[in-house]
Amino acid sequence: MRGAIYTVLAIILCALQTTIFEHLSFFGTVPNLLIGLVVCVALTRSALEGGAIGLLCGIFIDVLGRGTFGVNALLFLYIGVALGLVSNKFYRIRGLVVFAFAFLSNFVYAFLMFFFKFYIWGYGNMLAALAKKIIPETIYTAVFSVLILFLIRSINKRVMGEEA
Amino acid sequence: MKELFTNKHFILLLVVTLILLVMAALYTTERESVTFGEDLIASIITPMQSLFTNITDGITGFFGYFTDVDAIKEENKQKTEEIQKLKSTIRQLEQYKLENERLKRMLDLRETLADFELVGAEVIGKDPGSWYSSFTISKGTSDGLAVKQPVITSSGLVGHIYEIGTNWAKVISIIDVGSSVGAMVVRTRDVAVVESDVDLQQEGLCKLTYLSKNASLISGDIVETSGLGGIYPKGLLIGKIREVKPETAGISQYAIIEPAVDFQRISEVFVITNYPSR
Repeated sequence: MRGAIYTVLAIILCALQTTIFEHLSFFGTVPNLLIGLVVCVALTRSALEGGAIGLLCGIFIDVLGRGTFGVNALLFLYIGVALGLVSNKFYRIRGLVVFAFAFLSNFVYAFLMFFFKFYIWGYGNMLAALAKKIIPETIYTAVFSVLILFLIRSINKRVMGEEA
Repeated sequence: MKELFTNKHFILLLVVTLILLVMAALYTTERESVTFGEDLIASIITPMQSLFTNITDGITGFFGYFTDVDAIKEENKQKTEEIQKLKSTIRQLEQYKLENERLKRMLDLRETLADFELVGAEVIGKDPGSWYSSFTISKGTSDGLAVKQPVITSSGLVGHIYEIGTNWAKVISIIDVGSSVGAMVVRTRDVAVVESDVDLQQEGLCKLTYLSKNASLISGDIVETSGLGGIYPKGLLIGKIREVKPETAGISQYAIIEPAVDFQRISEVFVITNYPSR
């Protein structure tokens, strides 16, 4: 049941990210809603569930986007597993914790993508990419990750009858 | 260490990693068709993208009425005066049109697009990653589309199809970092290549590279496809030159191009289905 709900949520967030949010860009960037979902699931559940949703969201990006198939799936998988492993260090996952980890995850993800896909091949300026793309997108993603956390808590409470 | 390798979750992680690396290696090269799994996933998500795109268009159109009321009133007044002037101009232009058509026939001049078979499609979703300028359109192999077919709008060249499924296709735009288009400057007949980089792509621009140091280009020069490379037919409008700059080494120069197509607001495209001829 939970897996099915997270899958539907991933599909909806993926569709939103590639359509409506193109009109709601912040400094020309769109929030990475799928990374927000992976961070929230990994922190509130476990490394196994975090890894699974990371793998699924990464495959969605690989299928719908351009670039080598599997790269996003691998990165999202490891983000999900890594955050799932540190989740038990926190007594309660609050919005601030999600904000911090979403910021860190998206920054690392965006930096690695830019560095290995463009920078080392001479297709971009590091400072410009950080200032115009990576940092605005990371802030935007972190803010929306907190909203996704509230959404997941609400789903857990209403649909699965859990205490948030 | 031994415990780690007997942990079933760790083994699962290793197996998934290995599978993804093998798939990444297999799918690095350009493909003519996608796998069944990719087609299935895209076929599930694209209808939802289509739905959200329609909702967004509806909302944008609805609020547009309220936000622009003052501007519309002023515009309406100006337009009424303009209509009167235009009516007399239209009568004059119709005479010119008839004369033009007669001259065209005499010169046996063919319109560039007359030879192309076009299929219209809607843009239903942008690339989920933020580093590429590609998008998904609402038609696929079931509508007669194929990989490498050029994509245009009424304004000019958009790009070409690089991946396709049953009812969707992914289009790489000419401002994408991975794009490369054979081009020609109309005024000087200089042949060059239109490419992009991350910084230009974000501004919706691209550049004309491999230009000779002696090429005398000026701002405003029109750039169109040269027909070299085999993907794009000759004579499709790409854009106009904004500025000309020397390359770092100083032996050649490049020009920044403003594409004729506004890639931020692109919503409908046409695919040329009979080019390249197979």
